[in-house]
Amino acid sequence: MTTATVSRWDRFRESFFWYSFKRDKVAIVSFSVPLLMVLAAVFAPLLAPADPYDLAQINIMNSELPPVGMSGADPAFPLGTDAQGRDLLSTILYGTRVSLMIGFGAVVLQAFLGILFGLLAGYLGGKVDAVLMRIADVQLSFSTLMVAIIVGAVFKASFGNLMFGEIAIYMLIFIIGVAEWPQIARTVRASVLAEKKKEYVDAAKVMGFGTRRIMFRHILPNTLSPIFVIATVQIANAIISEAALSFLGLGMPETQPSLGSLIKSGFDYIQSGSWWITLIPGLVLVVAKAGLLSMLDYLAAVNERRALSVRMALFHQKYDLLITPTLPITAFDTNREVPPDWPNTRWPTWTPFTYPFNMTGQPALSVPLGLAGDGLPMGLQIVGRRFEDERVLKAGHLFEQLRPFTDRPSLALAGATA
Amino acid sequence: MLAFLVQRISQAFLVMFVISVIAFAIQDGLGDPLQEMVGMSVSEEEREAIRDELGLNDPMVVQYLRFAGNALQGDLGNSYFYSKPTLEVIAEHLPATLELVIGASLIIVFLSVPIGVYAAIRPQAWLSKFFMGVSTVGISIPVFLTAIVLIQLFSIGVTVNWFPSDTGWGQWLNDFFSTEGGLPSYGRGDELTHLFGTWESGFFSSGGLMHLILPSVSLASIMLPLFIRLIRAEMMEVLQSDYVRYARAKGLSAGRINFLHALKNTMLPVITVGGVQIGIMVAYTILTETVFQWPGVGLMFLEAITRSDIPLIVAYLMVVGLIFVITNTLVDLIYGLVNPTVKLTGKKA
Repeated sequence: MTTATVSRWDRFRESFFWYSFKRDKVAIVSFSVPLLMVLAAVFAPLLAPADPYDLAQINIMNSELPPVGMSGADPAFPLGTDAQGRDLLSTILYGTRVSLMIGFGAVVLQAFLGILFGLLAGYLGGKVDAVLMRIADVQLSFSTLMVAIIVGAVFKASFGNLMFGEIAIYMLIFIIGVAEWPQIARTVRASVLAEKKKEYVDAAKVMGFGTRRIMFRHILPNTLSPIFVIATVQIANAIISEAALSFLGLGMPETQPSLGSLIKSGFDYIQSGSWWITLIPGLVLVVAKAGLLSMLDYLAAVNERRALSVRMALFHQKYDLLITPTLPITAFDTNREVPPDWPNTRWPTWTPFTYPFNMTGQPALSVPLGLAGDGLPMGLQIVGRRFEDERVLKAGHLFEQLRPFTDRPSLALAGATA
Repeated sequence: MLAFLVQRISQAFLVMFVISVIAFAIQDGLGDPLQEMVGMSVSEEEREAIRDELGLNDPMVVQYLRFAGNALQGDLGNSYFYSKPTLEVIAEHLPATLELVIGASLIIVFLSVPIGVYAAIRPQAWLSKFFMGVSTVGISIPVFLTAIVLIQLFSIGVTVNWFPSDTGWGQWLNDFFSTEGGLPSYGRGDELTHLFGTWESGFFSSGGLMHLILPSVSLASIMLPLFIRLIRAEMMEVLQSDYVRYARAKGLSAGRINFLHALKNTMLPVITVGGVQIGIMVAYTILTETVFQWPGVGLMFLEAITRSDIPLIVAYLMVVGLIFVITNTLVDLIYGLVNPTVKLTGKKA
């Protein structure tokens, strides 16, 4: 058992993902914000100086103290206190915990609904598809926030304030989960439609497997990776939706605050000059969303790179080597980013043949080919499978022998033409 | 085309039917009209008699048909709190919300078109990058937080003393980063002009306009980035098209190409997307009105929830549902007219 986990960990440590992640400062920063948030949320009871749920620890005499750095601050309350005298740092840590819990819970629920309905719509097609997707369209056209507000309003009216406060956390998970399922259902349906046409599904049908087995055991695993990406966006959205609902008084009660209800309760004191009670939780909320979205941008880029690797791997099932020109243009002035009169300002636009293989991690070799019409040298690029550097080098050597680059211009001449 | 028309309109009716069923279910499940009408002293037999008389013991379908019939005639019951017809209450609050939406729309139109066009024509200029950066930040800040920050900056005011105030430059920098405040952030003020019916307008007095500034800027802040991005993207696509290149080759002036030929074709998709966004704005008016205590339908709806004013909640649901269904159907139809490649069966691929 231990050997299996060790080898998995080793495989991760040797993976291309980890290799490039370690060297990418932007990636590390974008991952560290959500990671710190999750850690702060999980360990809130250990990290927080005070327990905001414990009435015995609250002293009303400490109310509305400003954060450290302003006059009248108390170092025992680094971020100041709220109107009830609760330590703001502690309430924010606990509030982040509540907000993240609702965010994750709501996304688990909407993923369940979205995957189920998306699979049914995509695989069964026909009437089921038409009805489910129409419902999704209509629900989306009402905007998810509006649907969430109305469902929340109905729940609040039917349960009453007190009862709603007690079960608010489950209610919010339910409300946001139900309001946002169409997003995931659409994504799943789109990938199911693509998977359905593949040969392995036909094979499974021929072997006589049932619809349910094909749907859940064969197609579902292949549609999961886009779901992970959209689920991260949805966590960010769910946290913001929760904050909006709580701000409207349709969410977490003040006794068990989320970031949204902290902002709401602090807002009542902004006119008296205590801006920190509402604006510091607000800042945490924005940082949480921005952190999640930048992590997502990185993951989306990794996904894109993997998709490119997969396409190249498919190509190499048939061909050993890919031969391309090195560049679509000849050399230009060294002090420029792009050639003169180039329609774009980014360098990848004039290196379309080389940069893809930096991303896929394949061995690629450029061999001198000859001189172009303008007297400048051109290159030939040889690309091989990953880890088949030897074959690429052999091919390059063979090419140089067959077509030696004899008309090499002297360096002085090359400098003059450029 | 006729099939498309019929299909869309029948879908609109179907959606409205579903909304009315939901509204009826809420009213039936949550509201007990008897409790509102009679006191505690009335005996169970008398209650039963009144129930019979009111038709509350009729089968569900009969009750629903009665509810829908009344709704079609503009009768959605009386509000418990205001003790008058719910539609009348909504009509009283609607002008405030409409003026807020109009104010925000004006800001969006007058800022997003020039900024979007500029960012499309000069994508590399630092000003374009600045606008795009600001709009990225703007889109990730929830509307109620934008509103709170605006209140802090422009209503309460911020006094900065980060720099030594005994030196001239320090004082100057302190003043530079401080804000005056003073803009109203509560309600619509008392300088309203009566237009007609229930419409009290804040557009015709300085006080009314001052009260409109912060709420409409907040509401605009959520949609403005979206429109800037949309206009920029559409415009960039149009600028790549053959007819623009042909116009350039023909030697037309850049201004004429950009603003007459390209902008015209940019605006079609922008208008259709904008139509859908108007519906979505309704949700954001609830948040904006709560922050600024703006006496519109959004705030009315929230107050109805805290007061458990079921008929008013139901009426709001029906009215907002109707607004959504009408705008969405119109947008779909216009889009179908403008872009005939939309599949006639209406299935979105």
